[in-house]
Amino acid sequence: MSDLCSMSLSRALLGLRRREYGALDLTRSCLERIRATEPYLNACISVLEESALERAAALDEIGPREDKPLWGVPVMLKDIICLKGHPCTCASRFVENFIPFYDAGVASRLKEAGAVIVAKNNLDEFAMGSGTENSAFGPTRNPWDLARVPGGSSGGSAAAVAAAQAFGALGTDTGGSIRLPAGFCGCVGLKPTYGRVSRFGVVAFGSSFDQVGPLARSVEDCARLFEVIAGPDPRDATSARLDLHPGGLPEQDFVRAALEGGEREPQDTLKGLKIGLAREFWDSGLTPEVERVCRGLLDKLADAGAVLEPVSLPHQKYAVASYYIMSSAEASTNLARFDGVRYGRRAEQAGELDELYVASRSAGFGPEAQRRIMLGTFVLSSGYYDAYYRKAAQIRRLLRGDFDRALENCRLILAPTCTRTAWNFGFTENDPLLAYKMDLLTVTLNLVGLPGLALPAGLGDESRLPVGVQLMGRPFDEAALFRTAAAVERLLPPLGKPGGV
Amino acid sequence: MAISKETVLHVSRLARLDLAAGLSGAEAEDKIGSFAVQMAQIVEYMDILNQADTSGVAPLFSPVSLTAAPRQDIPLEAGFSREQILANAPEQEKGMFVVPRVLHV
Repeated sequence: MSDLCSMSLSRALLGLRRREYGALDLTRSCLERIRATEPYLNACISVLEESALERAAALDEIGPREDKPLWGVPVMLKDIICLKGHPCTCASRFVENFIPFYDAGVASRLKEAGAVIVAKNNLDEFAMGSGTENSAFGPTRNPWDLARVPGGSSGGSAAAVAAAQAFGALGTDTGGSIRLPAGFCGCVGLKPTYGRVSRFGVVAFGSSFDQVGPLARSVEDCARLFEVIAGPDPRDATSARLDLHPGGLPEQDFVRAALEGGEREPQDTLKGLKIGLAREFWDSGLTPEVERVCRGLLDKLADAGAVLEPVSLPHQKYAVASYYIMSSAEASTNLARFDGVRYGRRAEQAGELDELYVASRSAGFGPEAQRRIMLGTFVLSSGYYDAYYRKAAQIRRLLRGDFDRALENCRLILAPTCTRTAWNFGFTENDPLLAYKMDLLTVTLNLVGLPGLALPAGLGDESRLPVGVQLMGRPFDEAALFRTAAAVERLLPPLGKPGGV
Repeated sequence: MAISKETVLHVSRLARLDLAAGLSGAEAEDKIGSFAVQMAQIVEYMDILNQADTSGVAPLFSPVSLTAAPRQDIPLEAGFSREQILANAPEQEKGMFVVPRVLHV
């Protein structure tokens, strides 16, 4: 039974429908795997053993349902996504006791689809970080090498999925927080088009950047999760009305797209497909092994008939600066709601209301959250607003123009997810700017709001660690990403199982 | 651009943060000093934006191009109770959040 958890999500679904095993068998297998690996990984902040077993038993009682696309499948949620009745800590001491009384839009959709939620995953505090080192509950370790970070901020979700603690997980991506850990842990992860997935019940970091997306062990698995969570939600004002989409209703059948790409010969999908390569991404200081793995993939794509086209993103060099200005500004305003009054930990011995705010916030927020709040407050403060915040927003429009032009001629753009493989713990300690620069290849998509799908391209020949690439697409064109990614997946040998656990 | 300790302290006051909280005098000095250095490095890096010509470019504050559709102006069912909302409050009384006294008369 213990190996059940290592199957793909898609294979697990098939077995459930054939009654080879039940929801309870899968849930127990995942819980066993969690027990065995958590002492090393620390990928979960809370394991929902009791509620997961109850839920799985209740599902088994009824039996498989064709109309429930994730019936009986154990999955996890990044612990910044609200799940009714269970703590949502955001990896912060400040709100470690906060228990939401409602489900996030994506949590309701998972439940409605028949999924079993087995754990809430570790993350960087309030999703601020690229290594899952900034968690009040300790860092998550990379299942490929326990001395290294899993990437962040959805590092708990990526590590858990790679280590087969669950069949998939939901993370959030504000500046690369799904794609970077997916790349470092050898998973498939999608940052959807801004507005594609409901953010209702997801604790806000950068509201014009945040998107929820799936992490899984295959392109098809990722599509199955995405198909469940994608779609409008009246409770999120930024949720996109696709019926108003200028190009007509975009393709919505993501599972079919992934199956098409995976079942055909890769050449049938890739022949004549125009894939853009931006010098700004490829000449960005890639380590030699990342360069070799990614160039190897380009050769295979060209052999399969894809047309690799140079494209230009002249404003990419301003992306990291613009991103950290705007996202920190949004973080400083979003985190203003944490004041020790309505929820969260209240500092003792505060005489006046203002002292209570200051004392609660100073004790509650960890160092990186404080740094982002400070930066954001600075760039929004009088005398600096025009030079930083407004200027960054202007660059944002120019960048979007770069992408719109590049994607007119190409269906998608391909780039590595990071200039290097996973780093050792402490590598960016005391050097926040170095940490921010690690997001060089991911933040741009969040500025422009476009979708990106990360998948493994192979193992580095020096580090023996996963190297990720990302496919970036047109607005709401996730189906093309899934179709192409499934073909790419077939071109490449499987990564194998992570060696650290 | 250099960032002085005074600027750091000014910004921290705006952000309702006390960087010296729980620290000794010397530790607090260190922390504020290192914040000043780190912020200066970050802001100096951000100054790369000055190289970009953005004259006449309208700022883009959100990537949503579709305008949110209006809905009927009918109050929605809350779906949850006052007790549920108050359940996470550090201090409550008579169905309300309790804060330290604000008015002094």
